[in-house]
Amino acid sequence: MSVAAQAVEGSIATGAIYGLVGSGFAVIFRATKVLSFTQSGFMLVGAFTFYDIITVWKLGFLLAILISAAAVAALSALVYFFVFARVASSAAFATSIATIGLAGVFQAIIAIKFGTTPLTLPLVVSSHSYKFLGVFVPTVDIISTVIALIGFALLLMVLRFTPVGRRMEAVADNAPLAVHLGVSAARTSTAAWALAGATAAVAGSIFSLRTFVVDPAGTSNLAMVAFPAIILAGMDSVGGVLLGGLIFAGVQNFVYIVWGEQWVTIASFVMMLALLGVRPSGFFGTPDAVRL
Amino acid sequence: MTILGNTGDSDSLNPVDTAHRSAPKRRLRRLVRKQGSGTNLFIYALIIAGAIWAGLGNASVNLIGQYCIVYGIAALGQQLLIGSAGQVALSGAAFMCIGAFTTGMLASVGAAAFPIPILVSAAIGLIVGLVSGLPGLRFRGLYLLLSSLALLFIVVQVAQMYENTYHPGGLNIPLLYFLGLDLSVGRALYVALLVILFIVYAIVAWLDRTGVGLVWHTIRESEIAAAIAGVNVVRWKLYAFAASGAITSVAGSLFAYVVGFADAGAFDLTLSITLLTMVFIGGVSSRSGALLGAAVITVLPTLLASTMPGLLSKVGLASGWYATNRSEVDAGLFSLLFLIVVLFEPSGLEGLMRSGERRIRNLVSSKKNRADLEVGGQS
Repeated sequence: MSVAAQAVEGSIATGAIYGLVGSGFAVIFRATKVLSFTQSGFMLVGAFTFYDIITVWKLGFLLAILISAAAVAALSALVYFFVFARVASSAAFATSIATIGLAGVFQAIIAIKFGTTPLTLPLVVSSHSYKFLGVFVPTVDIISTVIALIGFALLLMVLRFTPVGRRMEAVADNAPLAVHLGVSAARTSTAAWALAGATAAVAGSIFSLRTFVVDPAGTSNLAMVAFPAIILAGMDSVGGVLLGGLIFAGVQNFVYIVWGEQWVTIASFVMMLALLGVRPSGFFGTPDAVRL
Repeated sequence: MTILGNTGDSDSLNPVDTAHRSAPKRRLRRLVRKQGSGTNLFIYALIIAGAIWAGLGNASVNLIGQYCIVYGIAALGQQLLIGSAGQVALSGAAFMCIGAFTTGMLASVGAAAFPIPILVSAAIGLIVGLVSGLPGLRFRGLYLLLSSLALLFIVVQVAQMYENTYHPGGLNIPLLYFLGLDLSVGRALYVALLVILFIVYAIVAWLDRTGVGLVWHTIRESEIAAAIAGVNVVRWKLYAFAASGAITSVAGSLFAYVVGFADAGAFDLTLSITLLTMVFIGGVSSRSGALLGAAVITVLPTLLASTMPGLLSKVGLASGWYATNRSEVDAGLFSLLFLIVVLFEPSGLEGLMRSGERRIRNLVSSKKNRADLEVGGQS
């Protein structure tokens, strides 16, 4: 019983992070039809900016996350504007492939600057665990989950209630019509990349916070590991991806407990293949895949 | 897919001009006049010259040549999928892993007589490609990319588990002997690999000329048009994926022979991306481009290692900086190159050469036309 309850606790904490990771992919995909692998690079840059702010500037972790998010959002917008904007509007698939290259560039820069071994974060959050209904709940889990949920809620609110967000929704719903009615597709896409960059930075930061180390390999893999969650929800569903993340983290924990750690990767991606076969647009996405 | 441009130009032959010439001469003239022939000739001459040079060079040049050939075969496999059928997948490393592990497993049960591991690797690559029946093949673009990524993670994890259980530290690959000949090191291995490359190349070229290649080309140009023409698009994309997997598996098997052992850690996403980079840098639309790309990407790290320190000290940076960060800098440069090629120069080096050739031809022909006009005006 307590093993299962503990797994539920872990699934919620991990799932919230997956959800935040996935929401960044979804925001970009909705606005530009590009699946940006560069998100993994932005998570890495975000995590190490977070690390730098904490160790060099000695600021609190909340402030560090905010600054890191702002910095990466600016970087992401610039990258889109100067590198991808011209090609992305005409060739979304080629751009998706090219983003793999940019992720590699960021990985290399981080590896040169910080090395490839994980760096230990200073103790910014209490390592105390609360006992709740027989389950140990570490303080970091509470903090990271709350931050993830706040970030997620903010993202949804920006999309729903601000003019920029409404324009993004308009482009996602019907791009030619939105452009025809005077929405600038280029500006909207840049805003989408900025938002996605911010979510990536927050996701990278809280992932590091939760594991107490800044791990280059783990952080850049986070995006890949979260893919099944994104497919589960549907690539263009910002709201659904949180639920997708929670379900997927639950499945992973189940596999971990029942079969052991080495089966987690296999089970995750077999699930993803099965989903792509049965329902490629996910459970919340719009089914617009061209079927032959 | 828009990044795969059509490069075959029709030749601008004037029938009146050649009507009175003899047949072989005419054929030669037609060949010379055809746009793109200069580029093809140049690339093949470059590859053959490089192959001879590497074969005659010392042991380290030889070794680089061996890797060039292995990656060249892998790039041919990727080119079959990307260039002929117009599909992009990230499963290259998975199939190389399959080839390497098949070779290692056959060796551990004692069935390692030379051509067997390569043939079995090809067969298993083909079967995995067919059985995986990637769901993404039913759709265009992104879904295949994602499902091939999933296949990569699954295959490598299974290989890792096998390795951890039965051969911790990696699978041993026996030395290469064929009919009593020692082909395990140096020039002998190089020549053996070259022969295999030639065979693979011939098979792929032949396949591409038959109806199979035609079907793939039709799918690349337009899936809907292919479907209208009666092609079962999903099935033929699956065949292309499996054939590409078989060839890449052969490369994986040979890779294991050159390295001497197989370790699942070597077959990661980075390797898949490197293979894609080779194909895109050389030029996706032709096999010669794939070979050129493989050679360029394989040789580049060595070239950088010898020139980078001097270059850096000229700029004013510490020359030791490159030596300490070599693998990271190389990885970053390759990624950057990949990004630039895919975004801004999708037809790669071959495309650059072709446009150069076209410019020269235009220059020559416009001069000639002007001369003709002047002559015509005088008469």
